[in-house]
Order: sequence, then structure tokens, then C-alpha cells
Amino acid sequence: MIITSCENEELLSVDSAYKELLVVQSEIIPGSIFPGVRLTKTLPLGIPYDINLSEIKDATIYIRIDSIKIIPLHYTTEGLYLPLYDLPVSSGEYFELFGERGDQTFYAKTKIPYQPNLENVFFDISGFYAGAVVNSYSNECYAALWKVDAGTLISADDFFQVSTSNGQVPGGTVSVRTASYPLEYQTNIYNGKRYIQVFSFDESFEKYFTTKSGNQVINNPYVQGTGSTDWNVEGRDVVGMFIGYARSDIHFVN
Amino acid sequence: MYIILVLIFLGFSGISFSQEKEFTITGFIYDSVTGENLIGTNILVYKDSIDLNSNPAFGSAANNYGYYVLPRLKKARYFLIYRHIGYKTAIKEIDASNPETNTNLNVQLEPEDIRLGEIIVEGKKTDRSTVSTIDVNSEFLSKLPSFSGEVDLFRLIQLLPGINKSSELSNGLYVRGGSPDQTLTLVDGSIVYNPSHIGNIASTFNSNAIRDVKLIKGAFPAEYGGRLSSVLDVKLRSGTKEKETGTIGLGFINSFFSLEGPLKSSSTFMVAGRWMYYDAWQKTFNKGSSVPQYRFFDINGKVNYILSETSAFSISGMYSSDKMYNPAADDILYDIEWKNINLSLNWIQINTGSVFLNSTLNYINYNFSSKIGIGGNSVSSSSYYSNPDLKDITIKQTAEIKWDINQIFKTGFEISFHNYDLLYNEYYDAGFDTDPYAGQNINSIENAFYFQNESEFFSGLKTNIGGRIFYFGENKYLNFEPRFSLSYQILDNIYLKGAAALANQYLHLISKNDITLPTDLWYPSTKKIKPSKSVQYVFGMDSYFEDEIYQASIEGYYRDMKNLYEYKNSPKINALDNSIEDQFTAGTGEAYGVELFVQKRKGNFKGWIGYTLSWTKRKFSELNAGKIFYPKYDRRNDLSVAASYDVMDNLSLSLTFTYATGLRYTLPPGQYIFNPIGVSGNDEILLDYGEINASKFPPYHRLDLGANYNIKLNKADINIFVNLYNLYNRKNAFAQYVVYNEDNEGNKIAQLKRISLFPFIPAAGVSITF
Repeated sequence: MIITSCENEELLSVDSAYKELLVVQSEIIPGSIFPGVRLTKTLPLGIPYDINLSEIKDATIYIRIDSIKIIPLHYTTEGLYLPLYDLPVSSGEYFELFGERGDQTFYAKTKIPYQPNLENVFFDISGFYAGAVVNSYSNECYAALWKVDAGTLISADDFFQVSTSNGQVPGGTVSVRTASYPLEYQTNIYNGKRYIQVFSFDESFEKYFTTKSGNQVINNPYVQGTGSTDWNVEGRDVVGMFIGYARSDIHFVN
Repeated sequence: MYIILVLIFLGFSGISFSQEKEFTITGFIYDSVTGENLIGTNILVYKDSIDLNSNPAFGSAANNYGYYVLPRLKKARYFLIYRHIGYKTAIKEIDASNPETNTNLNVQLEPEDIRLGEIIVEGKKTDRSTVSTIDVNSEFLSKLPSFSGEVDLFRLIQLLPGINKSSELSNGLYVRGGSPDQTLTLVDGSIVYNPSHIGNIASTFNSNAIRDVKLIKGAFPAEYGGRLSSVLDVKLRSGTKEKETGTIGLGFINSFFSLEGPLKSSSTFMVAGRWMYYDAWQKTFNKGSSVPQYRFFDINGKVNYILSETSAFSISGMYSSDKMYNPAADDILYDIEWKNINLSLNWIQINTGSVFLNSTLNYINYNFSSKIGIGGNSVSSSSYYSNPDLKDITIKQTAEIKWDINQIFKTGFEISFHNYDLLYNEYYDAGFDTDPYAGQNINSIENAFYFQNESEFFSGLKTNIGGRIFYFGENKYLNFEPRFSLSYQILDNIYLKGAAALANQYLHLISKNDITLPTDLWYPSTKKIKPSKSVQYVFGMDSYFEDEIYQASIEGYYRDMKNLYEYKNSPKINALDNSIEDQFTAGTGEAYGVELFVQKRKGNFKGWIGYTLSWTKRKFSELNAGKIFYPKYDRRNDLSVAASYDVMDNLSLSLTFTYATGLRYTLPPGQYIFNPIGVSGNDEILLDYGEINASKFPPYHRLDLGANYNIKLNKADINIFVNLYNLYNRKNAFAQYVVYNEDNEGNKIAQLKRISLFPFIPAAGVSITF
């Protein structure tokens, strides 16, 4: 038998697949100053990512708070649009985003959630994860990160799941849990050094969270993205999140 | 209940019994040399004299065990013509002018070299009534070009219309828009969970061990169940009664053997095995390759005992083992192994002439271990581990009653005990293999009872009406599945066909949308995981012309599916809790299309052209933002050509050509920066993947050529083969994905990369039959 094999690899031009999208991002935290809105656009594959190429300078953007207060935002640098003065953010407020660029318009609305109020926290020894019971509010969802004191405070790099208060009466509780601690932090030497931090988000975070992993750069022939992320910014050819969230204090669990 | 149903069914046919003295002719039909039963042999019955230009009085066909029944014959003189492609036609005369008892008439047919011009008795009664069914011709199969030198069943099946080709590394059959788990694969009546080796380069059935293959692409009759889309029914050979014979084939990447013969006068054996050791070849000669390293071993065996003229017993077994792992040059670590063990005890009995009983006991063990992104405890988005171990014990009893010359009633029940030991996690850790708390252990019972009546009415109208009652598991799922098919001969050689069927599936193959490597996780229906359901309709037309040398058919189908399951995006899979069902998402599916098939069935030049125009869709509320998407294997157009030409008695040439719309994949049309919400960190460059599988690879096409030359040396038959795989070196895409490269200034650039796996591969080899 004679057999030869030389599998082939080639780089492709993907110009024809490029589609320009506007990308909106703003994370609004109660008790701090409104951070502004960053507006960029997608760039085609095949070139280095460059903020100078992707930033959008010519959009008209304003926000409205609790359907009353309207504040225009102005371009500053690297696609960031800010109000002319510092704008403190409070829990329970509703922020709306209005934007326009050429014939494109976009809109988003978010609730600024309350800081999570934990009824109790716990550590699950069989699953090696931390959990908490949170007092819930309407239009909010909750998630948690494990933390461990390994000299410096190490934190999970993502949430395990998002819990919502859907269908529950206001004032009820919701359970949240972290991902399992990595095996290296499951050993006894980390007993007494494990913590949890709980986050409250506007409810739109749940859909974003369950769909966001499809956007990772994969770099693997056997893996592919799993489709579009469920964003909360609405508009034709616009993606992004305009969202409020709050953090609890860090609580010891085990 | 059982008796009532039988009576109802008998009544349904509305055919009254005659009071005149009647008798029955029964018997087996064998190959005169090997003693193998000849499945599907046509029996044409003429009364008083033979006139081939006129229709016979009636006809029949041998069943799956080569057994035939001609019941309720009146006093007369009969001429019986036995016809089977590849065998000389036999004619028997029965003078039944004054019969005293029923007659047992076993018939041996003599094989002939069909290249020398077949004696074809063109029976007008040949059975053309089955819908969406193809009987695979193993003689034609043996001549086609192959990748490894050994032609395989699955390679042939993938050339048929309606069978989608998926990735070159995927396995299983994608029939009419169904995923591989939706095809019921049976070997001597025993279920095979994973019937293929990687990339379908070979099935787990050694072609030397196969006696008969039937593929039903949709709307299958009530005697089959437990799957949504299709049936592949394989019967193994029993071994020749003539003398001990064997075949050995040796090659650089694979070898095979088979051995068969008589044990005693009433028993035979057959054993066939194969090894593929592509990984060893790759390590030696192609170290820089990024093609996965792969090897497999399989063995099929059967022992057959003839206990009496009315009873036979067989033991058959199958074992296969596959291993695919990353090449040294690959950054991505993976190790995927799977094993099938199937044991089957089969006892056939014939009672009172026209009742054929088949009792079966099966043991099945299937294990699939998928370790992807191995590397300690770090979890990447592509890490995955699953190790389901499935064990089934099944008891099956069937009865086939030919109670009138135009009526066959089939009924049966089966009871299966399933044990699923399911291990899974986001990443592999050796500790899980021994951790008693890791994973889940699920037991369930599956019961089924079926009945069907195959009837032939006046004017060429045939029907198959039946139903199947299913009961599954502790959640007490009970379902009834009506099945119906009919064919009508509108002109001499033109048949209209139609069928409708409802089917349930209680075992689900959960796959990850984002990983193209095999990640099989079989999961049974539970309280939360509902049985999958499908309703399917088939309508078509068959025509035969030029003395049935040519066949042309067109068939359309529609299938609606509910309760399909896949992993959610970003599933959190934890070996230490039982929350995996929360990581599944349920959806629906739809598949429809039209298939065209033109075949030249006889002569020196044989072959076919098949074309399929099809659509396959899925909709999951938690995938693709709830919008409809197409699975990867949704190929709009699919054209296949297979042909062989016998140049001389001992030399044949063959070709296969395939053209298909490219596989679907998810292409990111842009890149952007985004800061992960809620998690303090730096901006990340992300890709906008848009909708799932919205883009396509370039069309897949490939031409393979083959030549077989046979010489006889002493008592050995030597076959020399040459195969040219992918003759014009088409670089068919296996994967297209984004990679980061650095430019001269150290900037990272996201680029799209395409990998093609199998280029032009010439291969040659020898097999010896002694």
C-alpha cells in the first residue's frame, strides 16, 4: 500500500462576511458616578483591533432618568460619551438610553438594582461551592462569585448561574450559588479562607449571561461560537449592554 | 388484550375463510454452496402451466430468515419459480390435485456469475410495495472504491439520496434531517448505539460478515420502534456449510480477516475482524500532521445450529473499540474512546406451517468517553468530559403469520432493562473515574408491543397497517404509535407509494452545539426530559423499465419533531450534582425534501445517481435567541454517483462522486471590544458570531476511483485492489474558525482559517481468500 497525507491549512479572506454593527456598553453602579456610555463599531477580521478605527465620535446620545430627567452625553475620547457634570446613581432608579447615528437609532432601559441583602450564606461541602439566600426585588436577577484568600484575594472569573425572582412575590428570597471551587482550592489548607460575593443585576442580565459565551475567540478547529448574544440594547445592527448592577459585601463561607 | 387486538386485526381485513380443503407449502430457501438463507427471494406461483408473459396466480417472498409460506392453496397443479438476483432461477412443480397434508419444500438456489448475463424471470409479482426502503446489494458494494481498501456499508449508504454527509470526523447516519441517534440500528435484532467508526470511514459491521442490510429512511412499519427517523436492519451471515474458508487482507493502515465454515453437519460458524492503526502510521511517517490520531478494532461472529427442520438457534456477537486522540502537533488535547459489545441469542421456530416465531435475548454494553481540553483542573470554554456507560438486556418475541396468500400478520413484544451510568463534568479529572458520588445512575424499563398486517388487495393495492404501544420508565410514559403505508400499481411498472407514521424516542443523544468532536451523552426520558416525538409523511413514485434493468424513483417527505434536546449555551456540567438536566434545552425540528434516484441494476455496468433537495431546521427557545436555525448537516443539495463496470470476468473498475452543499457553521462577521459585565476586568476582544450556522463551507465534492483484479492461485482467490481517494485533490473544508496571528509589529490579528483533512490518497492492497 502506498499512502500519502498532507492535510491543508489556509487563511481566508472574510471581507464579504463583514457587517458593521454599533457596540454599546455601559455598567451603572448605585452609589457611584454615572460612568458614561462607550460607543464603538465592529471591525472586520484580518486587521488588528484598533480603538481609533472602531470608536464612534458622531453619535447623538442622551439618557433619561425615571422618565423625567434628560441629560445629553458628549463624546470625550475612545468612543466614551459622558454628561457635562458628575451624575450620582441611586438604587431603584430607571435609566433609559436614546441614541442616533445617521439613520441608525438605538434604545435601552435598565433598572439600577438594590445592593443584595443576604439572608444567609452557606458552603456546600459535597459540591464545593458557596451559596446565599438573597432578598429579591422586582426586575432584578442575582448571581455570585466565589473568592478565596490565597495571599491575595482570588475570584472566580465568571458567574455560575443567574437566579431570578420571576413569579415570586416581592419581598421573597432567591437562592444563588457560585461555581465549584477549583480543585486546588478544595483542599483543607483553604478552609477558613473561602468567601462569596453576590451581585444584583437588572433582569436583562440573565439572557445576556446565558448567551454570551458564544462570543469568545475560540482558536480551535473543533469548537465554534454558539450564536448571537441576547443584548438589551435595541436597534438595527446594534449590540451591547446598558445595564445597572450592584455588589454585596464579601462574606465568609468556610 | 393481545388476543383481542389480533382478532380485531383479522377482522379488519374482511376476508372470509373458505370451507374447501386447503393446504400450505412452506420452506427455507438456501444458497446451495454456502447454505446461507436467502432473504427476500421472490416466489412466483403459476397454476397448471407457466406463461411468463402473463401474471402468475400469486406470489410471495422469503422473510428475513429465508422462510416462505404459501398458505391456503386449493387443489391444483402448481409451478413455483424461485428468483433471487445472483442465483439461477429454480422451478419446482407441485402436484396438489389431491393433497393430504401441508408440504415442506426447502429449495437450494445455485449461485451464478451475474456478469455472464442473468437469467431474469421478470415476475410481475415482485414486491415493490415498501416505502422509503432500500435493500443494499453487497456484491455492488464490494466493487466500489474505498479509503482503506475495504469497502464499507456506511460509505455506500452515504451515497444514497436522503442520507446527509456530516463532518469528515463525525460518525453515524444523518437520515432525512434526523440526527444519528434517531436511526435505529439493529444487528441480528440487537440495538447498536454507535454503529460507525470515525468519519463513517467504516461501520462497525465488517462487510465480510454481512448477509443482508435493509435501510428504511422514514415512516417505518410498526415492527420497528424506539427511534424517530429511520431504521438500519443488518443481518449477519451464518457461515458457509461447504468447507472452511477464510480471507486475509493486510495494509499499512488497516488489516482484516474472516473465517467461516461448518462445525458439524447441522451447524456453522463465521468470524470476521478488522484493525485500523492509522495512529501508528501517522506517528511514524507524518509526525507534523494535525489530523487526529485514530485506531479501531472490531470483530463480528456468529454460530448457527439447525436443531430440526422447524427450529434453529444462533448466537451472534459484536465487539468494537475506537480511540481518537490529538496528534502531537496539536495544541488542543483530546482523547475520545468508544466501545460496543452486543451479544444476541436467537431461536426461530415454525409452528403449524404458517406461523414463524422468533425469540431473542440481547445484551448490549456501550461506552463513550469524551475527554476534551484535558489538562488538569483549568476549565476553558472548550473543556468537556462525559463518560456514559449504557447496559441493556432485552427480551423479544415476535410472530409472523401468513394467514392468507395476500395477508401477513406480524406481532411481537419486547422488554428492555436499561442501566445508564452517566459521568460528566466541565473538565476531566481522574478522580471522577473512581468517585462513587460522581455522575448519575439511572435504571429504566422499556416495553413495547406491536402488530401490523401486510395486505394485498385487488388492482395492485398493498397496505401495511399497524400500531405500536410503548411504555417507558418510572415516569410511566405510555404512547400509541399508528403506522400506515400503501402502494398502488397504477401502470404495469409504475407504483405510487405513501406512508405516515408517528414515533417516540425515549433515549436522547445530547450533543454540544459548539464542539465538532464527538461528545455523545445518551440520556433517558425522565420526569423533566420528555420523550421526543415525530410525525412523518412520505409520498413517492417508483418506475421500472427496460425489463427492470433500470429503476427510477422520486420520493418526498416531511417530518415534524418535538422534544429534541441539546445542551444550553455555556452549560455548567458538574459531576458532583445531579443538575445536568437543567443544562439541557428542549426544542423542535422540521425536515422536508425531495429525493430522486435512478439506478441501473443489472449488467456489466451498474450504478446509480441520487439527488436530494432538502431542508432541516431546529428551534430552541434557549439557543440562537429563540430563532430557527439550521443544523450543521443541513445541506440543500446533495448529488451522489456510484458506478462499477466489469471490464472482464476478473477485472472491475468503479467510481463514486459526491457533490453537496457545504456544511453550515457559525462565522463571526466582525470583532469588537467589550468588558465582561459585572466581573472587573479588562476589555476583551470578542467576535460577533451572529446567528448559529448562518454561513456555509464551500461545496463538498470528491471523486474516487477503484479497480479490483481477481486471480486464482492454487486454491486461493487473490484480490488486488487499487483505490484513488479524492482523485483531483479537492481541499474540502473540515473546519473554518478564527485564529489569532501576530503581524510584524506584534499586533494580534483575528483571521479565518480553513483546515482540509483528506487530500488525494492513492492506496493499493491485496486480500486472499483460501
